[in-house]
This record gives sequence, C-alpha cells and structure tokens, in this order.
Amino acid sequence: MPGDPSFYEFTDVPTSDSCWSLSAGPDGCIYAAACSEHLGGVSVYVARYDDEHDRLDYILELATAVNDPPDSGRATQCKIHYCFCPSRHDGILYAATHLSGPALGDFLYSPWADWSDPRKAFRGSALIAYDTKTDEVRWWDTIAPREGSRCMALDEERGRIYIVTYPRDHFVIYDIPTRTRRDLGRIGSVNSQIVFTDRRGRAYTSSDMGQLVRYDPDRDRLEEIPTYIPCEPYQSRWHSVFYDAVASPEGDCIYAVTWRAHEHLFRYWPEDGPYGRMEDLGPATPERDRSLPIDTFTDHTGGLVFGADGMLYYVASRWEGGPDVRPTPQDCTGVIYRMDPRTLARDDMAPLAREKFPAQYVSRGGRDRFGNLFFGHVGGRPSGIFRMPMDVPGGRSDLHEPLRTWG
Amino acid sequence: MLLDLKGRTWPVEPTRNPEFDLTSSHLQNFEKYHHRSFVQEGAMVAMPLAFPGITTPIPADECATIALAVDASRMVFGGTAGRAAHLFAAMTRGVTGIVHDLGVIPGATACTAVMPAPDRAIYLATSGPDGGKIWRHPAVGWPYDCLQEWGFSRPGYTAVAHPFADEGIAHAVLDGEHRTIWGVSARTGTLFGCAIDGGEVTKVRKVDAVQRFSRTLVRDLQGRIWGTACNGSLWRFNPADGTFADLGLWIPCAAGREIHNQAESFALDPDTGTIYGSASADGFLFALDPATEQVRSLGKPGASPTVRCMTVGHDGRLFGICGDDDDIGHLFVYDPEDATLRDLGVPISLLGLRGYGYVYRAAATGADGELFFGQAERMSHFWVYFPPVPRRRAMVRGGDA
Repeated sequence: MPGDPSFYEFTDVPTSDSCWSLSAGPDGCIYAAACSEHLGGVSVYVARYDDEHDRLDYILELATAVNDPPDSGRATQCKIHYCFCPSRHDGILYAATHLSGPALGDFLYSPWADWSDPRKAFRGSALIAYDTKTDEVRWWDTIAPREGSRCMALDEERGRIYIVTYPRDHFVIYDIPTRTRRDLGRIGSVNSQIVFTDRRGRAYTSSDMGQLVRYDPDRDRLEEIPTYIPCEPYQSRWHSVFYDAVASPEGDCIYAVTWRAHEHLFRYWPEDGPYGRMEDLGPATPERDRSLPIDTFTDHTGGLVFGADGMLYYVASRWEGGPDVRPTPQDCTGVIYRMDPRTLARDDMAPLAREKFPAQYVSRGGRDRFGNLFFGHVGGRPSGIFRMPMDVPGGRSDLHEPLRTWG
Repeated sequence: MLLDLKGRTWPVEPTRNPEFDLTSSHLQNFEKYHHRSFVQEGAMVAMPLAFPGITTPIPADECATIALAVDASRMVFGGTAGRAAHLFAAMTRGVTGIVHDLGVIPGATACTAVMPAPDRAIYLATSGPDGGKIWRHPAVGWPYDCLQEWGFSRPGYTAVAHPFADEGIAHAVLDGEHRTIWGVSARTGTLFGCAIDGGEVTKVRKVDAVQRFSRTLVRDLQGRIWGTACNGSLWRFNPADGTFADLGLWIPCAAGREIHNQAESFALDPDTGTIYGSASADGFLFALDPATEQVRSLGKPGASPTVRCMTVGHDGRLFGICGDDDDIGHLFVYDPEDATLRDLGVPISLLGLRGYGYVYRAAATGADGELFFGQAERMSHFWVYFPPVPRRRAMVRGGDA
C-alpha cells in the first residue's frame, strides 16, 4: 500500500506562493517550480527532489539564467506554469517562464495595462534548455515576447515545442534545431491549461467553448475539430477548457479534467476516428450550491498521474454537505484519488494536509524513477510539493517511464 | 551546482510595508485596477460570425475582418481575409441577431473593400493568388423571424472585372454618381476605375513612383478620391474631370520619419466633410479639411504607432482602435468639440459572447449611432460598440453655485 503523503515546503524561497509546475525530468528526478507570483521582484526557482537525502535542492534561479533580473523594473520571471517538458534523448528539461509577478516594489502587474510600456511590461516568456546531466542551462530564448507561456508540450521526434500564450491565447510553435518561433494565431480568451500530443505527434488544446483545437504537423494546420469537452448539463460549454491531462501508459488515450467549477473527468481517444472520441467520466468533486459561482481554487481537480501500477491518480478537492453547501478553501480537503482505468472505479487513497493552509489545490503530478508520486501545491507561503511513497518493486530506477512530455 | 538561498534577503510585501498608510484609498481600490484596462464607457458586444447556436462560424484563419460597410437597409457587410476570403452579412436589427456567411469568394484570400450600392447589390474588391478582382453579390434580403423559423441561401458571386493579374487590390470605393469603383492596386499603387455596368477598367496612373503609397482611400463629399504617396503627401483625384493632383500636403509624424509615413485609415464625417486619418509612422491622427486643404494633427491616441480602423459617430466624435497584429488594441475617441483625445480601454465583450478583442482592421457607423468593428485575428467576431448616452447637464437653480 502507498504510504502517507508528506509535504516538502519551499523553505529556502520563503516568498513562494505556488508550485504551478512539477514534472519528472529525463533523469527520473522530480523537478518543481517555486513561484512567487504575488510579490514583486522575485524570480521563480527550480527545485529538485533529492531522493538520496530526502530533501529539496534549489538548482536554478530563472531570472538570472535568462538575463532578466528581478530588480529590472519590469514584471518578473516569477513562475513556470505547466511548462516543464523533459527530453529523453539528450537529458534536457525544457522550461518556459510565465508572468504575473509585479516589478520590484510594485503592487500588481497587469499585462493588458502595461502591454506597451517597455519599462514595465513583462519582457516575454523565456524558454530554457536545462541539461540535467551537467546541471547547466545550455541555452535560452524568448519564446513569447511580452507574453507568458501558460502551458507547453514537447514533440521530441520533430524537435518542436508548442505553447499557448497568455494573455492573448496564441498557439506558438518553436523549432528547436533552428531556434525559431512561429505564431499560428489566436485561439480564444480563456487559456486552456494544457497542450498535449498524441502518438502521431498531433498537438491538442481547447477553445473557450470547450472545442478541441488540434495542430496537425503533417498538414501544418491548426484547426478547431468537432469534438467537445464534457460539462454539466446546467452549464454552457463556455470555459470548459482543459486543465490537466495525462496519457495512459499505452499512449492510446488521454485522461483529463476541466478548468472550471463542477469539473468533469473524461478520457479522449485521439486516434478513434477523424476527430477522436470523447468519453465523459462524470464530475470529479462533490455536489454543492449550483447558484453560487464558486471559484476554481475551491472546486478543483489536478495532479493527474499514472502510477507504476497502471492506476490513474489525481487530487480533487472534497467537502462535506450536499446540494446546499457553499464551500470555501478552508472547508476543503485535497484528496488523492485512485481510478482503475479498466473498471473506472474510484477510491480515495489519502488526504493531503498542511499546517495552517488548506491543501485542496494541486496543479500537477509526477512519478519519479522509483515510482513515488509527487504533487505540486498552490497556496500558502512558502508553498511546496507533496510526496506520496508508493509500494513498488524495489531495485528499479526507471519507473518514471513513460515520461510525460508536456507540462 | 546547488544554490545557497539561506542568507538571501527577500523583498518586502508592499501591502505590509510599515512605512505605508495601509488604510489609504490607493490600497483599498486595488480591485479596480484590473478592470480599468478595459473599455470604460458604453458597451461592446461580440457576435460570432454565425447564426449563434445554429451554424458553425466562418472558420478560424478565414475570418479576419478587414472591410465593413453598412447598406441603406441597415445590413452590415463584412469582408474577410486569410486562407480564404468570405463576405458576410451581419444583421442586428429586427428579429435577427445573426451573421450570415455568404460564402467563400472564389480564389480570393482578402476581401479588401465592401461597397453596398444603392440597388442593394454589394460590390467587392479582392486580392488573391491570381490578382485583384471586382465582384458583385446580389442584394441580400432580410430573413423572417430568426427566433422562430428562417431560411437562407448563398446565391454566389459574379465577376465584374479582373483589373490586375499579378497584384491585388489594396482598397476601393464606390462612386455611385459615375457608377464606377475607384481603387488602388496593392503593389504598384495603380489608381484605376472600374465601371460597375460592364466592368470596363481604366487605369489612371501610379500614385507614387517608388510605391510608397497608402493602401486605403477615402471619397469626400464632393466625390473626390484621396490618398497618400511618398512621405505621406496627400494626393487627390477628381473623377469629374479626371485630374490627379499631388498636393504637397504632408500628414503628421515624428520629425524626420516622413519616409515611413502613409495614411493607414480614413474616416469621413458625413456632416462636416472633414476627413480624419491616421498616419502609419508614429500613429498620429489628423483632420483634413478638403475645402481648405488644411491638415491638422490631433495627437496620438495610444502607445501603438498603428491605427487601422476609425469611424465617425453620429455626434461627430471619431472612434477608432489602435494597435497592430502583435498588439492589444485600445478603443479611443476624439471629440472635435473640445479637441480631446481619450483612450477608452481594451475592447471586451461581456454580454452574450465573453471575450477580449485585440486586433481590428475595419469600422463603420450604424443607423442608430452604434459602431461596428471588424476583428482581424485568427478567430474573429463581429463587434458592436454602443457608446454611452451622455448625461444631461445638471440643472442650475437660482442662487446655487
């Protein structure tokens, strides 16, 4: 049986307020982003879990690495948002930065208000290639001038990176060999929180109306396809965008969840027919007062990851009560659920707990080389990650495979 | 190498800075900061380029709206650009509230001008791989009740003329008096006329020797056609006598940047005859009095050097959106009454469709003073702006200050 989850605080980055990105690296270690989005003048830091000493090591200050110091006067390189992509063949961990942190001394940052101000505007999302074999940044480039990267996927075979930008919601292709970017244009207003790829290298994200948007590299076309993300019957499709998605171990199916209250779990079979097949697995969180526009920090599901046992694990917020309840984050518990993909039966494995802070919001999950599960937590200062030791066969150190190659 | 962060000093949270008065209104009003970036007056509404909820919209990459015009029946026609070009009819009156896609214009990748004629036929100028063409689309009838039952058709387009085989048409205007379309080609800047009866084409001349010319034209109240040539100098063509004049009048820009300057958009005040324009080098607005041939700089509406769409409202104010393809556009207004220029904010639609608007390339004014804007992004909508109704002046009672 898995052990109890424990929390690893970003103690050395006391300003951190969120961990938006967590991923296994190509080396099978867990990498996590210590983000400081609410305090001006702080860079995001990359932490790595040291499984030998059971601790977090801090390996990179992004702002310095990409020559955009946190005291530049501009909005800061404050976070990595669903933008870790490990590359197997060369040991590179790609990461792209995101905006929201104000300049040093400023109270807030608005990318809309400061878009045209070269003194204040975010310089742009920096894509870095971090060599996990040598612990060095091999190179970096600006992948989205003036914008952040909300999510990112790697097509290792073609040497391409896909991102969705914020705030303009553009789909951008970055060609790694030539270090060039191509903006394919706007998708909508509400960012999808993920780009993922299928076995044929097609990249997927979603529109504001929950419609799948697919890039086909063979045709070089980005197009809306007639497949929609499920939602509750009482809701319109607006804001039914992807939140998190993970491939089945076989790679033939994507398990995913939406970024909206009353979110649904679903799975998508991308190779089933010309547009794939969507299968709704129902709501992920309990019933509540539907008349209240509850926030997605309360009603939330994330951290989808397959265990080495072939089961799907994810973290959903849970609260007590029925259809009249109006929960707040303080009323919620983040619970690790396990789903059997064969039977779709779900059971709750363990609650997540933090001192003083609710632990209902998990961004991403990852599995390290020994098969242990990790979850990035958003909230509390300092923020951090959860680790759930798994009962897996000893002696193996390749259990991070197959690697998830999107953030 | 691992980082040692233990001795590091971290910034202080401004909202917890003991030297600040934490009760100040500046801190209390933070919640307004974000909202202030978006349109502050009136309301903008974005309509999908579709019959909402009934049809699929004009596909992404084919729906960037670069031309708009309103016909006498209040129907709004739009021309798009992208992988293919469409003409659409937007209906916002009666029991409609729809956009009818009139279909792909054969071989075109940009519909650069939409010109409703008095008989309600719609003339189009297009660009595409096989050059620049003039098309005619028959009158579009108003449908029956679009809440109950309806039926639409796509009658298709009739080619009127093919003035250019190796370049597109940058812009064109309809001269109803002479039943002629006057246009300028996209690469060589050839001014031409095309008779809408029969399609005979007359090539007048190149408007500039070195192809530095405006890709937009405007027709004044006297029927004369205006544009700019090298250094942003204004030219004028009079169809009545066929005369072309290089006026030696330069539109405004920052000092020394004339070589980069062209008119980027025009808007005619139908009451005063004033022609408003925007200049491409630095984004200055200007007002041209065609009678006196005086050009007056109105200043810059925003940080962007690009203003590609403007229209004059019923109250005489000039509305437009500044920003280029890589920008976040801002709606602005110029009031000739007091010569004020104000940024109204980033377009946003909250009623019906919920979304931001960033890039626009066409504008027109509706019969009731509503303003139409053509969005020009990969996925685009038809935007309607309802300016606020001004407050009446406060009554001043005797003795009151």
